[in-house]
This record gives sequence, structure tokens and C-alpha cells, in this order.
Amino acid sequence: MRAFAVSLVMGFNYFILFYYGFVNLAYTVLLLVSTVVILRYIRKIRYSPFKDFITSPETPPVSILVPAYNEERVIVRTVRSTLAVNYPFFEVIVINDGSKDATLDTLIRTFHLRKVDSAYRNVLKTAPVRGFYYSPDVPNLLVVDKENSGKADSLNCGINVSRSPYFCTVDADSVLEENALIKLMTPTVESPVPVVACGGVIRALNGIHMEDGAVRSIDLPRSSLAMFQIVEYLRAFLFGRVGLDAMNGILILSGAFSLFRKASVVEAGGYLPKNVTEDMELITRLHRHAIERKTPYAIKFISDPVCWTEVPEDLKMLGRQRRRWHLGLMQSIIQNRSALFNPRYGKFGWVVLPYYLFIELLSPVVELIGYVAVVLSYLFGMLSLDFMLLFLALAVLYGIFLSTASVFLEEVTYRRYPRWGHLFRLLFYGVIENFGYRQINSFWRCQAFLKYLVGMRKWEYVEKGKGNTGSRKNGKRESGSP
Amino acid sequence: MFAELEQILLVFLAFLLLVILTVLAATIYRRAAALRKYRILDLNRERFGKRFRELIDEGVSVDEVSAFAFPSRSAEWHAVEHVLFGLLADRRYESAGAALFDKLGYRSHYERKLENRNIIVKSSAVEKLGRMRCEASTGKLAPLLEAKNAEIVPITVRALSKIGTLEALGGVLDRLPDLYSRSFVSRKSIESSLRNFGPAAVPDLVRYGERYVDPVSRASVLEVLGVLGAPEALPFAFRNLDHGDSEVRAKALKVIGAAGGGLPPGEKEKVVALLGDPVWFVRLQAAKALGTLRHDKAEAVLAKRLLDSNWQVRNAAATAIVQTSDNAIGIFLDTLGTTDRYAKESVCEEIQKTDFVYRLIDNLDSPGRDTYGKSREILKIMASLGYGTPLREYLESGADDRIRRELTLIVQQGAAS
Repeated sequence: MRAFAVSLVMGFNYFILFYYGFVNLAYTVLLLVSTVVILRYIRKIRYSPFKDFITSPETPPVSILVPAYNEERVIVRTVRSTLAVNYPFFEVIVINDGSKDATLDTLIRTFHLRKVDSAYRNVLKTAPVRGFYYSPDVPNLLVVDKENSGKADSLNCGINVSRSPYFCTVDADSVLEENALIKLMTPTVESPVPVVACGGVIRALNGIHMEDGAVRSIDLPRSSLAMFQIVEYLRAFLFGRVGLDAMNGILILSGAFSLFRKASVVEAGGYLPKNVTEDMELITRLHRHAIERKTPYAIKFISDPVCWTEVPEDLKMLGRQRRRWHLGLMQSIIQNRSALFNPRYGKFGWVVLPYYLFIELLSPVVELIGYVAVVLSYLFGMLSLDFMLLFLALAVLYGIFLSTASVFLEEVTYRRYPRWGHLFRLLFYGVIENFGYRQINSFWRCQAFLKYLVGMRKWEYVEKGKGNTGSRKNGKRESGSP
Repeated sequence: MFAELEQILLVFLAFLLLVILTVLAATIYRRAAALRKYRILDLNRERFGKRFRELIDEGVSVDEVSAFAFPSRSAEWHAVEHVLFGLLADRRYESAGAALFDKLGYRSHYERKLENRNIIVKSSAVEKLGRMRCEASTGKLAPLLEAKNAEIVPITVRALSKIGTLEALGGVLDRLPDLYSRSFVSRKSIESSLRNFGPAAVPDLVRYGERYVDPVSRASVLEVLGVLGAPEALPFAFRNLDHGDSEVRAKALKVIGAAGGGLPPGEKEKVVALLGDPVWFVRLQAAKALGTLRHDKAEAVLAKRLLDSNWQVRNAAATAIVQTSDNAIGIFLDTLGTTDRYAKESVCEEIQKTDFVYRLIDNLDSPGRDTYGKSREILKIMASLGYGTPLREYLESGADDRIRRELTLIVQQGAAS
């Protein structure tokens, strides 16, 4: 029995070694590609025509969809920030998803809305709509009140009501920078290949000073948990997505801030309410839809336009969020398993899906089992203490390298955090996140695996921001992915 | 074996540690360097900005400012460039700013960069020459439209549009069909840029539009003419109303709609006929055009379009009826006679959206029995279909008691039915 256990652990050790090398090689390639792409992009911004498009009548109209569920605390701030964007023609559609708090009343009171009658075209089937609210004082704001049915269904409702060829989804606790939308639309308009979806960068709103719905000054939050997430978001957006975008391989565009071509989304059937990460599922389906129809398409990620969103500041909420993201990733990959290594889907089937499966989805499981296996190997006497410590040090140091490289990329590109103190704190948290925070994350993601296996696949509600203690009963929803 | 692995790991760890320290140091150095660079730039910008304005105000000739010609890599060079772009944006200093770019060597510097093989350097130079409005560079920029690169072409189109001369316009229009056929630039990009040439470009746009055989280029030119709202383009637009390509027809209608009135009745008939076009966006543009042209004979056809399968067409038809017809009430009432509930709801929605509902409410106080009767009937149908919010609002806050009494009855009857 002991011999069997020893062989098992030994075999697993070799697997871990190989897998670890493979994952880190993939990350290094992504980092190198991202560095080249992002530095090129930064130089190109200098001659970007987005300022011309702000005043151009040729810029396509956009509907900004803001699904809201129990958002009375932040909804006005969000609506004000979306109404303040620099864009020639846009409408803001807030979809009140049967909130139990005063979300609707707050909107009616603040913007002097009145109920209007409107025919509702249920192109994408949704839960019943209870009413439409409009004010001639703010003609580009429409609030739709509907029965509670989830975020995906609310977004479908917004698409049904939208009258623009493009729509942009924004979370109800997020704040757009004033040029964010036009910066997202510019490459879409300029691309000779139809862009069906385009996403921007999400950054943590915690610590930011706001005034009249706009970001006035940038600061960092005091909460360590929020700080970890800031560094994590930098890593995810500045090198993860930029690298994948270089090969049109984006599967995750954050629902907190993404632009879509409405016709393509409607043709693909809209959002699927049964998925816990509706945004990722939609992007995956848009890829497949275009590939199956052999139509040229692009799904872009732009590293410049910024949407600020609140991130959870307590472990319980963060755990819920991460479990849900991982569950969503799992659902999307399982639903699209027929495309995996299927020659019909080209690089989507051979590179993109395998990347998400073997690196993004499985890595936390392998990582946690790896920690256990290395310790067991030591206990069985198969590894020396020196080797075990060296291996663990390698795992941690590589994580530190990726985090600090992300902060470096931020520094050479956008430099959003202006003070010296900000820089040192980011670097500090980039180092220490590898001692505990990363491992807790892997643990949550493993929990998502277990939950999926035992059939617990429901949405976990997340309350974000400072000092929140959300519950399912009175919780808020945020995007399905960072 | 483990001993060897340990050695490898140790070497790798040492290397990784070195890389991390380098990244940390580079990050801090980068921050310090950037702060220093921008501090110097800001100082120079302030210094030169003040000085240039003073010199121009004093009437110093452009030839006498050669002391501000700095080496191209220096901080002063970049500061002066920033200042000169600032002058270009100020009407008072605009011409002096453009002349200074030339005199201080910026034009020749960026023209040399056009030869560079690096596409970013080249694109950046193209953009700068456009922003500097260097008319003399047109001849060097226009051939870049033939480049086999999707990055340089749209920037060149934009640069030429910023220069804004007819020569620059010709440079783009000469190559327009070729640009579209090679798919190196999107239509929106080109149309946005062509618009920058302004009303002076209309004769050339029409001349080239007549010449284009391919419908994409022709539709694109018509689109720009529509945005510019050019009455002198009307004959060209009319000649395209029976074009075989639906987009050309739609864009021609857009030109007619944007130009407004002044059409002979025979030509209006052609527009009315297009309300029956099989393609929805042609019908949409026809309805929109008729919204700006007063034409009695359009009423009946517009009324049919209130039940169009496409909501945009229905909306445009309702707006056109409200804007142009004296018999809008009759038309809406007749249309509401349909048995199709969905169609009736659409009409109700359009009546609300166009604010025509408020005219109907006011008509409840009208001395004319016909107007009163028809308005009352429409409001009753609206209330019965659930479009009674404006009626209820009037009941809550309206001033006229007679109207309120009428509305109370209408709402009750609507609810009963």
C-alpha cells in the first residue's frame, strides 16, 4: 500500500513539474506578447482619432445598459457617470430587476421620472416588464422596471428596449471615465473586420474620490484585500487579456464594461439566463456563432478605456465572487466542449479553449494538489527538505515576478496611480499577495469545482465596497468575470 | 538526480530573483524619469508659450524666431511643438502657428519620417503633418493611401481631411473605390474624415460621386453630402433615386431630407414612391425625407407605413405625419381601425413619442366637432390599450376642468373596454 502511495505521489510530482513548467511558459509568452502589444498601443494612442469621433455624426449611437438589483446606494452615482460620458449619441437604459430596496424610487425622485407607456417587443424572451420611466429633462435616460429574473434576463430586456446598433453593458456599481465609451468605440468603428464585442479595463473603485459622478482624484484603498485585487486586476487586464487579444482569443470581457454589436448578439440568441457568468458565456457563443457561419469577426480588448468598479472588501464576499467566476468558466467550457480540439473551429478550438481549460480552469486544482503532493513527498522521504523549499520558493517567486511585471507595465503605460506612495504600495502588495492571498484564491476556485460536481451551480450574491455584509436576501449582483 | 534538479532550481531561482529586482528597479526608475521629463516639459511649455504669444503680438516676423529651432530629440523641441499646436487651436495665432511649424523645421522633420520603415513612426508623422495642416505635404501624404497597410491608410485619410484643401480632398476621392476594394479602412472612418472638408467640398464630392461606378463609393459620397446638408447636391441625389443598389437609394433620400424643401412636385412623387421600396432602410429614409418636405399626396402612403413591419419606419412615418399633415388626426384614427392589436399599440406608442397625444388632449376643448370627436375616439382607444398615462397625468395636474371631465369619462370607458 505504501509502495502504491509512494509511486502515486512520485508520478504526481513529475506531472506537477511538467504542468508547472507548461503553465509558466504560457504565462511568460503571454507577458512578452502583451508587453510588445501594449507598448505599441501606447504609442498609437497618440494618433488615435477618438477625439474626432466625439463630435462626428458618423459615430454609431450606443445604448448603455445598466442592470440594477438592490442598488439604491450607488445607482444615482452610476447613472450620473454614464450620462456624463463624452459621446455624440447615446441613451442610458437602467433595468430595475425587481429590486426589493428603493432603487426605482431613488431614480424616479432624482431624475424626476414619470411613467410612460411603451410597447415592449419581446424579441429576446424575458420576464414581464412592469413599466417604463422617462423624463423630458433627461431625454436620453430610460428606466425599465421589470420582474426579478436575474442579470442575464435584465440585459436581454435592455437589448429589447435599446434602439441603437451597439450596446454597452455597465454594472450598477461602476463608474465610467468620461472618454471610456468613445475609446471603446473607436477601434470598433475603425476596424475593417466587423467587431462583435469589445471590452475595456476594469479597475477598483475603492479609494477613488468622486464628484458629480466623475472620478476626481485617484487614491488607493486602505483595505489590504482591495489592494490585492488591484494588483490582481492589473495582472489580469494588462497582460492576460492583452496577450489573448493579440490572437483574437478573448473569452472573457467583463460584463461591467463591454460593448456589443446588437445584431450579432440578437442573432446569437442574447444572454443565457442559466449561466452564472453570462458575459463569458455570451462571448464564447459569439466566437462559435461567427466561426460556424464562416463570417469574419473580431472580439477586441482595449487596455485604455477604464471603468471603475467596487471590489469586495471582505473575504466572504470575495470568496463568493471567485467561486462564481470559476463556476462560470467551468460551465462555459463544458457547454462548448464539442469545439475543443475540433479542427472546424481553428485556433479557437486548438488554442483558446485549451488555454482556458488547462491553464485557467485546472491550474488552481493542480496548484493545491501540488502543495499537498510536495509536502507528502517530503514526508515519504522522496524529497529532501531543501528541494521542497526550493520548489515552493520557485512557485512563489514566479508569482511575484508576474505581479511586479504587471505593476511595471502599468508604470510604463497608463500610470493611473500618481503618487510615489501608490507605486510602492502596489509593488509591496504585488510581492505579498503570493503569501496567502493567491493560495486562498486557488482554494475558492477548487471549491467551485466541488460545488459543480455536487450540482450546486447557483449564483452567489456579492455585496461589494467598504464594510458591506451582503446576504442573498438583500444582495447585489456584479459581472460574471473581472 | 534530485541533486542535479536542486542545482537547476537554484540557478533558476537566482535568475528569477535577479529579474524581479531588475523589474522593481526599472519600475522605480521609470517613475522618476517620467516625473523629471514632464517637469521639464511643463516648464518649457510655459516659458515658450508665453514667449511665442508675446513675439507674435509684437509683430515679430516668422523669420526672426529661428532661435527656437532646437534639435529634434531635445525636451525644448517637444515643448515648442506642444506650444505651436496650442497656437493652431487659437484663431488669433492660427496662421502664425502653421507658419512656425514650417520655419522651425517640424514639417521637414516629419516629412523625413514618412520614409521610415517603422509603421508607428510613419503613422505618427502622418498624423502630425495633418494636425499641423501642412498643405505643402499633401503631395507626400496622398500616395500613402496606396500603402498595403491597414494602419497607415485611415491615418492618412484623417490627416488629409485635417489639411482640408481641395487638393487633399482630391487625393482621397481619387483613390476611394480602391480604398474600399482593398478593405484597409472602414467606411465610417472615411465618411467621418470626408465630412471634415466642410461645405466647400460639395462640388467635388458630387463630381466624383457621378464618376463612381461602384455603389459603395457612391453611397459613401451621398452619405457625406447628407450630413453636410447640401442643396446643390439635390440633382445628383435625384439621379440616384432609382439606382439599383438599395444603399445608394437610401443615402440619396438622406441628402434630399437633409436639404429640406425646394423640390418640384414631380420629384416629390419619386420620393413618395420609395415608401413602397422592398428594403426597409430605403422606406425609412423616404419617410424621414417626407417629414421635411410638405407634400399632400404623401399622406395616404405614409399612413400605410404606420403599420410597417419595421419599427424605425413606423416611427419615421408617424413623425412625418405629425410634422407635415393637417389631417394627422384623421390618419391616426383610420389606422387605429385595424384589427391587429400589435399594430394599434405601435401607433399609440408613436402618438405618445411624437407628443401628439398632448395635441389630442387639447382638442377635447376644441369648438370643431369633427376635431373633438376624432381626438376623443383616439384617446379612448389609447386608454383601452393601456396607453393612458398622459391622460392620467392631466387628470392629476391639468388646468382645464372641461378637459378633465372628458378625460375622466375616457379613462373609465377605456378601462371598461
